[in-house]
Amino acid sequence: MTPPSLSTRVLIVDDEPEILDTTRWAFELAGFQVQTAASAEEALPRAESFRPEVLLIDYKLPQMNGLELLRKIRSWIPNAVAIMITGLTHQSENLEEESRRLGAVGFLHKPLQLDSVLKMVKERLRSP
Amino acid sequence: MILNCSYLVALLFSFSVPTPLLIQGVTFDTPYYAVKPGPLYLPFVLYFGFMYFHASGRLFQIYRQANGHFREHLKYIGLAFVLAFLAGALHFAAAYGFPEIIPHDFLVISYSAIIAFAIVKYRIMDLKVAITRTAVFVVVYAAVLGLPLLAALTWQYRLEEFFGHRWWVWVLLSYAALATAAHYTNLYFQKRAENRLLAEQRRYQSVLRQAAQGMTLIKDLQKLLRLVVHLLTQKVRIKHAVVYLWDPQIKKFEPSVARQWPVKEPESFPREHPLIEYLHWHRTPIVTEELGLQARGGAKELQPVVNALKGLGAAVIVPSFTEDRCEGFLLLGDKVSGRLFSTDDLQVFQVLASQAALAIENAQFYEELKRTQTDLFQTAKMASLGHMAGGMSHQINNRFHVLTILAGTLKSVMKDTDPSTLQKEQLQAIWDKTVETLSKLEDNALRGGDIVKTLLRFSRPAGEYKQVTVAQILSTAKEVSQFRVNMGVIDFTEEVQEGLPEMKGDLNQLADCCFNLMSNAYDAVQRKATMIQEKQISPSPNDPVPFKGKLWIRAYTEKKDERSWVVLELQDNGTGMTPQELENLFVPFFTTKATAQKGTGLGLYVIQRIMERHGGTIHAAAKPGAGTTFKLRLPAAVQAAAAGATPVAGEANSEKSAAA
Repeated sequence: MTPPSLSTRVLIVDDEPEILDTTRWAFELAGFQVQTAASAEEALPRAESFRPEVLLIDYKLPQMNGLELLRKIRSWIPNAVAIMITGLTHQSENLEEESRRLGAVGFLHKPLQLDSVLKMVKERLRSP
Repeated sequence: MILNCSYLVALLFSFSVPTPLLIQGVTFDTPYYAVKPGPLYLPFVLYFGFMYFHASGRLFQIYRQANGHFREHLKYIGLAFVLAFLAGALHFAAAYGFPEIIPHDFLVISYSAIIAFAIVKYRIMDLKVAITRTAVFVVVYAAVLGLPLLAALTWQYRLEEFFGHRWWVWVLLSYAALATAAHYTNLYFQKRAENRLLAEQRRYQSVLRQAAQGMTLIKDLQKLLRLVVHLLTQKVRIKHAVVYLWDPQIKKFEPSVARQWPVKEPESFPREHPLIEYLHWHRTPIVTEELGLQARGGAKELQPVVNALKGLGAAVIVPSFTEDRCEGFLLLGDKVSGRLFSTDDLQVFQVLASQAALAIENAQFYEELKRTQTDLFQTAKMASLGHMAGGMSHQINNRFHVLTILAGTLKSVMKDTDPSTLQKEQLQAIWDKTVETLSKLEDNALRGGDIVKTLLRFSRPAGEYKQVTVAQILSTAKEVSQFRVNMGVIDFTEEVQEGLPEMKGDLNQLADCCFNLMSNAYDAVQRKATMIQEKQISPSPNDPVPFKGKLWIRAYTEKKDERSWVVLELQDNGTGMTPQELENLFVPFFTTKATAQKGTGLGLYVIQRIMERHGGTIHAAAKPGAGTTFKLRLPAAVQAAAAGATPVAGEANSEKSAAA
């Protein structure tokens, strides 16, 4: 594996601990610097201090959903590469449109293929 | 009223018998003695005439409303009455100088002959009963009235000596008293004699009456029909009996239950069949023999009905009606004893048939209801399945998500690594990570499978309910749990009360409930152990030091709402639950993500439904940090002897509750 951007910071937000652990491991092995959050409340201060370049957000979160979280983070970090992940299949067209308006580069359905996510992130980082 | 007055008048007349007021004397008028009438004689004749016409009028009214064999009886009685009246009238007329054209003795003999004929031919009374009654009458009256008369005549001079020349007044008075005594003595002995004679008949009639009353409680149609046929063949001892029921689908009366059918396979009848039309028209039991007599006596239109009955080998047919509809009929062969069916028999059969019709309607309604309820349950289940589908697929998807990330990561690591360049330590690290990842993969795939299994278990229709024991449930549950629960790391105590009653239910489902609760308890104690280790919480005062997970399983009986229950109690000293968690315990897919790591969020909901289906309940009590207790309560199976009348477990009262 060739780490393209050694210090690229990734914030992963998902409310299931096992998904967080697994994804963290995957991105760390791919050479990213990773922080995780299990809810929007946890994610907001972390985003402020950590200044992530990549955001990986699960749409379905307790209290505040992934799109609202993205909208808030966008106000301070407009350039982060954002990927929205969802397990839902219904209503996904509206959500996809909404997330694109918020500048998300991808709207991916679970389960997802790790290669394609990494590829998407790397491409976006190279040509912003 | 008229009857009582007439008795009084008759009594008054009887006092006048020994006086010249009624009869002044007797003259010989060939070939008879004629009466020389006294002043009371004419009123007596008028009284006789009035009573005859009054009685005949009543008889005619009843005759007009009667049908079947009863009408035949009345016809003969009426005829006999006319003859008796003629005999009396002619005799009285002789007193006033009219010659007796027909000797009245002859008419009286004819009257007796006709009554006797009617008794024998149409069974106004059982012949034996009639003979017994007559014999009792003769003996009692001869003893009570005849002996004193004989004595009075023999010792007339003594009586005259004692009472003076008015001695006969005393005799008359004592006769009035004796006649009353004779009447009641006669009734008493008649009843005794008949009871003995008809003991058998009375016995089965009372059995049938009782059965008829209890019938509407039976909810199983086939059982009910079998009971009717059993009673008739075994208790009344009829050679064969068939129950015909109207089948609305094929629009025919179908033989539903039969016993000892001798002739051939019984046929079915459409509504237009002469037999059915006859039943509909008359609504009373048909006695084949009587109908045959009527047909021979000129009622040609009855011949097809008689032929049908003969073809069936039927002695009696008893229809049963609810309102205007004939629901079916009973077809009966001859009695084993060869004796005839009495009027009482037919009445009892009719009561039986009409009660059976009610009971059959009840049973059919109940079966319909049961079908509807099953449908409703299935619908509700499918609806809740739809409701669950969202949460279910989310859970499964998360498992797949973890799987793909794990597999994808492992794949990239492998792809980007050249094993030949690696140091031994580096190789070992990658090797360890690979093993760890593979077990995670396995774990997640298994959990996905668990979710699917739960779904399948839930959608599976309930199996046949059988007798199950607590021991069976526990051993099955432990067998399943060995794949999931490491019993070695916790203390496991089992306290099962001796001689627990059995329950009725689906062993697999009940064992599933038990297994799920065991596995929940195991998770709770393991979670607590980890939290204590990580110093997130401190053990509660009752916990062993160092902390060790504990699981108690207790089984015992309990009396509640006048029923016996078997209670299966599972207690752990795990993390327990908050009141909010307890409240939402039985809500499908209520799960915090932390618990979703282990379960599906479905377990308790499914357990509750299973318990409801078994007529049982589930209760939970918990204290955060101290542990949880679940109580499964199941109705004890009713002993086989009384099982027949009890509704199937599952429809019984079910309650859901989660008490903190």
